[in-house]
Amino acid sequence: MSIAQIVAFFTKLMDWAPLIQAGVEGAMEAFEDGLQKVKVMVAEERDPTEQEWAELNAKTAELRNRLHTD
Amino acid sequence: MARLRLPLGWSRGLFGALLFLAACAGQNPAQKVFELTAVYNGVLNPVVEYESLPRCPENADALDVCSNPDVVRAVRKADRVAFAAINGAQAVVRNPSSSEDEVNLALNAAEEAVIRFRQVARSFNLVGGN
Repeated sequence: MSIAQIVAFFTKLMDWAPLIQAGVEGAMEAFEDGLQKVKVMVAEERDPTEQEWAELNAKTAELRNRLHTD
Repeated sequence: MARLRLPLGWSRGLFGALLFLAACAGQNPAQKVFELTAVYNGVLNPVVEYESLPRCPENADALDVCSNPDVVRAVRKADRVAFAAINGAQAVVRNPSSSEDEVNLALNAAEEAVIRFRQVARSFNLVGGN
């Protein structure tokens, strides 16, 4: 592997770093938000509200739309 | 096959822990499916970011930052299965007339589907964890 190849790789990686970072942050947010909401539901001994389902499913729909669209 | 190894070491063990929590934390079925859906979204996120990279050319090497078309096809297929199970489980737990057996079957199917989806994503290094 040449120095030029290594430099080219890191240049490309820097281009995509924000996108990769967004994936990490998005996954973290999804976890933390979902966990927190369920903790509250358990504490309040209640089912998810229609609004909570709608918000969660809207996030799923947004992600799946991106995954399955070229 | 060129693969992008995303820096997702932070999530090692987290998915497994969440699924364990979903099964054991005294939640009712609707709460469990809600949490499973959140876990599923958490797997979807890095998968979607990978998919959004430009497709790898046929002569791609290991240093190319790109998404392999075969990997994209595989995760899309796994996602369809996982989503069908999650969607089905939501319909069952949100229907007051569902029987206990129906609820248990739907919960197990959704849990297995999310685990399987995560395994597929992990097999391509799109998520961390064991």
